[in-house]
Amino acid sequence: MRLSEQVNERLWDSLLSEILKENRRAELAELEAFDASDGILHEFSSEFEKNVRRIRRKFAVKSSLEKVPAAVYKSVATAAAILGIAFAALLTQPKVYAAVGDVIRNVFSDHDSYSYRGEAPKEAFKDNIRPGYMPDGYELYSVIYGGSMATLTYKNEDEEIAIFKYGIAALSSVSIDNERHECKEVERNGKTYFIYEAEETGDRSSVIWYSGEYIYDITAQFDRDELVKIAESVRE
Amino acid sequence: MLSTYLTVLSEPSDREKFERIYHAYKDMMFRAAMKNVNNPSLAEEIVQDSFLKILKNLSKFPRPVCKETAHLIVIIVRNASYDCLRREKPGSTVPLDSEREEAASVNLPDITEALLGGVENIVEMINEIDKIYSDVLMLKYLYGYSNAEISELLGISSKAAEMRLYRARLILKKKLKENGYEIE
Repeated sequence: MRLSEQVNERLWDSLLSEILKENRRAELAELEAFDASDGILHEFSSEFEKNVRRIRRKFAVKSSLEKVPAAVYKSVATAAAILGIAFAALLTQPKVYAAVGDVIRNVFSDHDSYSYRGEAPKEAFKDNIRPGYMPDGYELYSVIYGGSMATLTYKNEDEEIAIFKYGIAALSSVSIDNERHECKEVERNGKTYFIYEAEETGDRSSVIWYSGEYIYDITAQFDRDELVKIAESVRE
Repeated sequence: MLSTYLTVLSEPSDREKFERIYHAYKDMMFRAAMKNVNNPSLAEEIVQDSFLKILKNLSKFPRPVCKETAHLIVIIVRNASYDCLRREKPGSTVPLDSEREEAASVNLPDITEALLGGVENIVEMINEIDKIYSDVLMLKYLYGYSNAEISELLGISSKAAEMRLYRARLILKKKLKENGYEIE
């Protein structure tokens, strides 16, 4: 007797469900075994913790908006709309807009963003660009080439990380948290280095600079002088 | 100030649920991400992306700490890893979702004939399917999610979810054919 298409389909669904249950059991067992064999807990970076806090905060506001009764929401929305007229420009527009050569720096209330209005280079990518100096103990851990950016991760014995990125400026824009970082501009040998020094201990600081048609960025728990020293050592 | 009031109005049970998920699975998520990218800073990015997806889909986690939740989270992390690898390495071998193809229905062969070859064979065939496709099979057949819900959980379009499901069934059908099952 041949099964009808619907019955056949339902039986396949049940069979797939049972097989997949078995797969789930095996996958979780594998993960547990991996946990047990490893035993080392990863210490998440302060940047990670900060970002998760931010995600939570955003979600709290969003979920609140969804739960506010319609009438309350309407009056809040009206008030917000009136205030919004006054503040919309502040929220959506940068406080400061600055262009140095082809580099455009926009300063928003909680972040700075950098973009580049020049041409993309003819050569797609520069290979083998590396900092000539790294603080003691930091070794190159990984290199990942993306479409327009390369990311080099350096790590020391204490699992502390320094990230060096470079890429085609015209195709890359960079945003940096300016709420907990103090921005300083440093001029050296005709180059402008934008340094974002972390205000809280444990947070990472960054330095950004443009050279030719390329953008460079170093992020690590180093002080300003160390960041500039690494930046100046980069062989282009 | 407005955001302060709104924060006070948010559901405490959701916050508690998220806190429990966060503390119970943060490390497991990192390890799962490391398995895919083997880079701590990228793995942290993947865990962040995954937490964002979890927050957006909190209602799909009825119990914050249980094996179903753990497994759903592993699937979310794995798929966030694929997204990350695509972003970082455009030339990598992670399969891409094409939305231009049409996802037709795939009829699987008569189950009675398929079972004659032994369930073990079918288990093996499903195990051989690329995770990117077997994950959608899991979400569909094990957890009973619709294509729209799968797309929300994985952060992909509904069309991409439909396409993955179609391909998963197509791959299974091909494997059955390769193994001598009679396919119309």
